[in-house]
Amino acid sequence: MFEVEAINRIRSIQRNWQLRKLLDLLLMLLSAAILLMVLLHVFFGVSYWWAFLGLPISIGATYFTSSLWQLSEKEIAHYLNKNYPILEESIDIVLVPTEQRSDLENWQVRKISQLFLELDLKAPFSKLLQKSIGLLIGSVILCLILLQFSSKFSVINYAGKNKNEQTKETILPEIKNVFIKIDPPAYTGKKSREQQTFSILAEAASMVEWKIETNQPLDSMVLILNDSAHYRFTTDAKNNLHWQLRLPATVNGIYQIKLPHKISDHYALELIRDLIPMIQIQSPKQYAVIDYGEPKQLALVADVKDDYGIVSANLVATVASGGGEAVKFKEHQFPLMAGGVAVQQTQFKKRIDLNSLNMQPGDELYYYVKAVDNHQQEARSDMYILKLTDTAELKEMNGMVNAINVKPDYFRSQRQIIIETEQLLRDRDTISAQQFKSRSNELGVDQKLLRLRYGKFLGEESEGNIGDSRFDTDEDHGSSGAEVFGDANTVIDAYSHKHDNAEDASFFDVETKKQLKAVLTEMWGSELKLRTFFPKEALPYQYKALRLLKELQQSSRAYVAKTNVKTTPLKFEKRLTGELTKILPQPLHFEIAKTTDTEAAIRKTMGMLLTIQSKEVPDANALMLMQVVLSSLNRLAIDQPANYLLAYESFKRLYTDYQNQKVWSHTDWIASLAACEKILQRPANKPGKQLEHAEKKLADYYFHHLNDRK
Amino acid sequence: MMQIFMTILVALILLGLVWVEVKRPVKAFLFFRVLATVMAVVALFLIMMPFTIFGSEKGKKVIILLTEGYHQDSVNQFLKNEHQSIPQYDLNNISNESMADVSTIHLFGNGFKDTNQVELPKVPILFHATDQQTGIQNIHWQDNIVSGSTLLVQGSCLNTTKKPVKLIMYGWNQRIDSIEIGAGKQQPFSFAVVPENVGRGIYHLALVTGRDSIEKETIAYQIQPAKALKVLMLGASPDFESKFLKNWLADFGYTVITKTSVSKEKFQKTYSNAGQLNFENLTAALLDEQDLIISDEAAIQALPTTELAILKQAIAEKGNGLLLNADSILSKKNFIGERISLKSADSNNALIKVSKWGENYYAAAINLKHPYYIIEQKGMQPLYVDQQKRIFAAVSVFGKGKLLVNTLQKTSSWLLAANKNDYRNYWTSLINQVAKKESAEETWASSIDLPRVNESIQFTAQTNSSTVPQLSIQHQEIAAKQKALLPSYWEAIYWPSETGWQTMIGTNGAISDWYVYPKGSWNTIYANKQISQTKAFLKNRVSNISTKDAEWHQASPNQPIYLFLIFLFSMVFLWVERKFQ
Repeated sequence: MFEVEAINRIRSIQRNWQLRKLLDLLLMLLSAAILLMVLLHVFFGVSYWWAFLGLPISIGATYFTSSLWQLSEKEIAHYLNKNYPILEESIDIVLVPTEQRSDLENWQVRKISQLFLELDLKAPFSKLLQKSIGLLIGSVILCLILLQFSSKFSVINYAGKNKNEQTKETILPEIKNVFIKIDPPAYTGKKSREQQTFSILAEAASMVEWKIETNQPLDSMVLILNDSAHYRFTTDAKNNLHWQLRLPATVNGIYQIKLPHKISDHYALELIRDLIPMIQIQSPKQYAVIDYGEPKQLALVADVKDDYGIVSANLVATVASGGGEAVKFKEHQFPLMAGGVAVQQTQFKKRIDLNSLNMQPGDELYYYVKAVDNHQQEARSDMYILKLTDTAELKEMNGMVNAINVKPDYFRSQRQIIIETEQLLRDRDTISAQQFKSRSNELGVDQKLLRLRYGKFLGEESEGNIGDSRFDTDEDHGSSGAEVFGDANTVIDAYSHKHDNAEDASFFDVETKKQLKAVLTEMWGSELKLRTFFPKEALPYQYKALRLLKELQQSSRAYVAKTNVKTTPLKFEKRLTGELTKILPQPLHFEIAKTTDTEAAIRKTMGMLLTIQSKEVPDANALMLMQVVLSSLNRLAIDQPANYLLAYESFKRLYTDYQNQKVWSHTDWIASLAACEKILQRPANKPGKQLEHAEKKLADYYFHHLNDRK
Repeated sequence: MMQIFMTILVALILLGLVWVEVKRPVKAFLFFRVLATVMAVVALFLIMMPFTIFGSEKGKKVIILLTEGYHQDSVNQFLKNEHQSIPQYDLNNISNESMADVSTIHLFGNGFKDTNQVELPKVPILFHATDQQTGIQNIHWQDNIVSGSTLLVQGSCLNTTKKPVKLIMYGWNQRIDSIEIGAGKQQPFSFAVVPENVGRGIYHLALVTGRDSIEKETIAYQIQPAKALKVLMLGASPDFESKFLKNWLADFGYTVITKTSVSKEKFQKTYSNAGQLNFENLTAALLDEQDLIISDEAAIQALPTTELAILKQAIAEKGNGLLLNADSILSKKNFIGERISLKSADSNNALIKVSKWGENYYAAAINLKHPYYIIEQKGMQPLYVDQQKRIFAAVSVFGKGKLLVNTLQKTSSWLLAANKNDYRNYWTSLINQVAKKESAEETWASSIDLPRVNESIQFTAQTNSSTVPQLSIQHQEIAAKQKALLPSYWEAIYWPSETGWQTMIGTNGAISDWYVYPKGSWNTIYANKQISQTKAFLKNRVSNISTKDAEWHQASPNQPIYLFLIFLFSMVFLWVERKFQ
């Protein structure tokens, strides 16, 4: 009888102790899990929801890893034997089935069963449990400490979360939920979308529909746009709980929802405007010249892009022929785009033969690209100019004869070579091949001499390959190639002369040297062709050299500044001896319109905000100044809700609190000051009357008496 | 310890010498010989070991007087060194009985707040001033500036701790500037900021080490909007320089009147923001209205004698300013040429770069064909100099007014090259130097720079009128007292009971603001001031006390001359005695 009870007791002990061990394990697991979760959340921004996932899994794993916590009866019996000598090492016999026991064993069982039942067992694992509980409490305290200081540890993820939380909208409690549907215009090709926040970002001219559900019946609901326009919501007459309004989004601004006795905060209504197309002409350059020998064509490459689509693009070209007062203009239009399919981004390539436009040498072509988008908005590129060189004009001496300068008269020599080359070409049929070659060679020598002469200005003393691009003695290697920022030497090199460097000894600055080099390159090309008996191919080089020389000469002219000239005072004894009595110069009166004092008011408000205290009696002047700032902020909030709406709200709250002698929030105060600072520019110092202390009487007394004594 | 050892040594030497004297076979003058020996040794000993106090015959009582800012540790250290217990009293609570029969007073702390009210017996007072504490030792800023000017806060800060400290200046939400002061160092600081507000404003200074803040102070300032000027410009010929300057000034809304000679006795007059004003010639009334006259030399030369005299009088006696744009050597015949000489720079077509005197920033270069510069003279203040320190703008005093000569031509090229800042800075500093200043009818100045709550402040006014000035602070009427010897000076004493901004209304409703700091602010500065005042007071006091009662010595060694004389006479006697034995 006692046996059965003993066995039962053992079993109950087993259950009890297993539970405790499991509990202990679970407590440790929990403390570890809590600590880990908080660490992950604070340092890495991991959401707490992961705990709800992880915890059951780990608990389940623990449970199913039975070896961790399960105890067999044998182990219990072994433990009891060890710790309770009264059991005489024989409690395990109780577990052996009766039929397998010997008599001695039975007798022993009978003996100890009763003792066992009366035994007062001390619960094991109690210390362990205490330790686990202690560990759990410790980890909870640690977590609380970590959370307390977590603001210092928060990382990027956290920052992102905070931003979202800041712009949370305050909605009136009567409004249960809101659906806003935005239908962009068809031409944009965008689909309609829905949102549940009051701040709207919509394409211009899109249809916005508000559907507001309230949690109590209301008499009316009005939308106030930009504090001026009122729009009534319509409702289904049944229960006045569902309200709708449809409006086209045509103005940027802020709006409020007005209920019978309440009005909401301001919400932003921002428009995404349809921008005009962007045109960029990649080639040719803005001012291009077609030299003698180059193909007479306009190779246009233009990039056009728009936010919604381009419907048409045209090249508009105007030919200006003749000069002076007899200039004639003729306009041509060339379509660049085929079809009416709108494209958002494309590159147009067009080649126009200038002969088809009847362009003569000396004429200019003014052209631009015009594009129209699918909202019928037109855009134009800049005006580009293409000029056909007139070689006859080049050879003229207009305006050159009285050019007095230090440089030698190189211009005429190049001209002479051109004339002689053309003469040679005309005479080609009448002279022998030998003569032709020798004359061509002579011209080449002339060209070489000319080239050497100019090469001297670049400081090149050796004969030979001056101007030959194959032997490029470029002093300024450093400027081309990879730019090294901050390298003092490169910067100095670009602007200085190294007087110990023979190559660098020249009279000219960097730009002039470059142009001269270009001239020399052309001359080299011309000499090459002349010497190889191809004078016709030498001509383009010669003309180009001449053009560059002419440009060089014109650029080096000093233009006297027309301003800052002080006219010499007239000597009235000698000049203007005529009758001048009837000449009466009229006095001129100017009144510079005073700009509004908004800036001054904002500055005064800022100063006032720095010194007012909460709950003090509101000053009428201060309230007036704040009103000025409030209206400025209102205008700015309407124009740029994203930048100024929050500041406007904060300032309005501050104004209301100050007016009602209430305590205002520090955040509002900071936001108001920041808004004032944003609007204002740094004050510029300007001359003004300085204040001096009233020393006058005594100082005046001394001054006058000292003067009198003199 | 040393003293005891020395005393024993000297006593032994004395005994030895006396014994030698006694043991001599000659017994004449024995008594005097022994006396002389003893006196010589004692005198020599006292010369070597000076003691600081000669007591008075009145009494031997010594007390310690504690004043604000004392440290108990230093008092205890002192008592330890003195090896005696000395009664300690608080200066505010000491009674007359305690001060009776006092021979010496040791003063601890910062000293006396108001040295005029010290009533202590005529005994030596030894001042053990508190050591300098970590903090701002001195500070200054101009509390009333014009909008657009820089607020410059300058001072010095001492750090007696072992770690570096940081002095930070910050505004309502942002840090403006900071400086780090090393351990054990005193460093000057200078913070500059251009405030954006107009009216009153506050900045804060915090002295921090790590996370602890040692000192936190407020800097109160006021910004006034720039007051409009009235300018008269005279020109001998039209030129771009004056045109640009006129337009620039007129854009501010200032009244600018120009009179330019365009032909023989024909003048073009323009009036900008001047209403319906019309004038023909220079009159005293017209010049009274103006704050500044800008002219070139030829225009001054061309003025008729009467007008020139009126101009001269307006500058010398009424305080007007004359800004002369000179582009050639000045003629010696007029009052300007007598004072200022120009010299032609050697090079023509020079690129001139000027900077304000004492500053490093150079404005954009101006290409001048024939540059002239001003020869430095006594009584002249250079304003702008070039890289070779040649003066291009200088101002000098002429009677009550000022005379400024500017030789930098073509400054309008700065405007054309979009260097607006250079142009603005140049002309603002020039005009501010020379324009007539506005003087208030009455100004009240406070005696203390940093007034604190519940501490008295004395206001002094100088007024031009003969009536009693009115003063009211925070709607409280304050009565002023006239100074007997200077009738235009009035004094008033006020005890502010609130911190923060206070509005002061003078006679005729002139309003000015001032700031009262809370109790405990600027402690270091006040402590330093108190200590130096006390030291000066005590130094003065020593020379005032008569030496009739006793000999006074204040923390200085006793006069050794008497002891030396005693020693000398004793030695002389002994020598003579030996000689004529």
